[in-house]
Amino acid sequence: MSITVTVEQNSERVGIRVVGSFDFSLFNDFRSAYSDYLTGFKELVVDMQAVEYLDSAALGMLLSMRNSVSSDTDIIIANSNSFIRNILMISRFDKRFTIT
Amino acid sequence: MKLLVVDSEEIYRDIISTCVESRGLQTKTAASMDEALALYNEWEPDLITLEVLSPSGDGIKLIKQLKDVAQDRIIPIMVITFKSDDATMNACIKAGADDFLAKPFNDILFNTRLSTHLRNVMFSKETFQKNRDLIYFQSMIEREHRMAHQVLAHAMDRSEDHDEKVAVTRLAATTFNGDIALIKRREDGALLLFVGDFTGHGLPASIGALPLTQAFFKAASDNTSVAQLANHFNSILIDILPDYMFCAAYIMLLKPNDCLEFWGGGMPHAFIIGQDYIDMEGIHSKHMPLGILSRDEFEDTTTEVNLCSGSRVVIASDGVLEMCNDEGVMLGDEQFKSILASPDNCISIDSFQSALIEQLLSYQGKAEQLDDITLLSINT
Repeated sequence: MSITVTVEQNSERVGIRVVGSFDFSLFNDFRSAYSDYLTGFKELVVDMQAVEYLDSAALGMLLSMRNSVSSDTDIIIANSNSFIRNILMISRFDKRFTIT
Repeated sequence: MKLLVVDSEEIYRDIISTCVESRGLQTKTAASMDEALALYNEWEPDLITLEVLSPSGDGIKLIKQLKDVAQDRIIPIMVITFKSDDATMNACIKAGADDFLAKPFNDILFNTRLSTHLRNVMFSKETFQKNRDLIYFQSMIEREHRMAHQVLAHAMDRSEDHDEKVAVTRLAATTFNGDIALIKRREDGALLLFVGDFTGHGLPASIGALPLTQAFFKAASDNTSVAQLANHFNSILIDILPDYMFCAAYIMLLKPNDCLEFWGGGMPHAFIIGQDYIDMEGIHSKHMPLGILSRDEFEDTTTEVNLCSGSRVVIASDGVLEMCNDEGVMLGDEQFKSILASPDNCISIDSFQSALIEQLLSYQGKAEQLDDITLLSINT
């Protein structure tokens, strides 16, 4: 599986880990990864550590996630390498996400 | 699943039919070679058992005939025969048979081997169907990409690509990647430019291009400001694009006094080429792309850069910087900078552009161009 989801024990934090190429092929898988956690969580963490490539379709998928998930939930895009961080910053994703 | 039993002896036709009765297979039997061929063509079985000994003809020849008709479909043939010497087995397998059992056979062993063959048949049927689906979808997507190119070509018809100060080059790949470039000189002499890159590929990526194009030419004739145009474009795209699509863009206005005003969202930095420097900081995106932020949140602040006389601006789409050479190495900023620095700065914008394209193509070599490429150069 290219996407794994973990819910922490105190149930306030959900982690979504994407592996490999984050592109249009994950469109449905990515959506179903967060669809059970739309409300009631403090943080959703999208872990980019194992993402090798990210295209504009993936940016679109993240935006769509931001729209679906409650605005009380902070979405954190974590562990991006410099290539991915650069893509995120060019599109000013820091305005909608916490980028760490 | 359909099993064809070919045997001249009625008793064996019955035994084999009985053996598979509980497995839910449809069974038909053939007593002669001719009957077998006829049933094979008409009824299209998935699996065959065959006795090569037959008074009605050569069993090995029949195996060859059946395999020829099957072509690339997998229809296993299990030879079940009294003539179980090594030479016969070898001849059968060579002719294309998939399995060989000697009579009298053990029904448990027969069923086990039958299961294996059925599994293979199922698998091959699925693969066959998936291949057909893939070919269907592939041809549909190719058609859509051609359509998208056409839609875009139509939209950009009115763009003035042959201005003395601007050169635009588009190198189309088979996949349409959503690049768009529009240019129009306004009545006040200022040059209005739009370079955009829609998310995704193919027809969906071209949807937003039509309304933007219309709005662009209207804005050029109305002398709309860059900020107003950015707001307007964002409004259009917010309404028509789904939330996972957007358009990275530069909207630029080059005024007659060589002051360049721009709004940029989600685009890579542009290159300002002076006499002895290449600047990659002066023109870069400060905003989220178009079609993401609501009308209330949208930021329309623009930036002004005063370009020195004789300098040039080059805007390259992702496709340029991500262009790969024969060894699969991406071009990248630094390599592109060295290409930009090489042509003589005094030459006309068209010659400059041709020199760039020539060098890009020579970098690319024989490697396949995956994305559309848009390159726009502006002279002061």
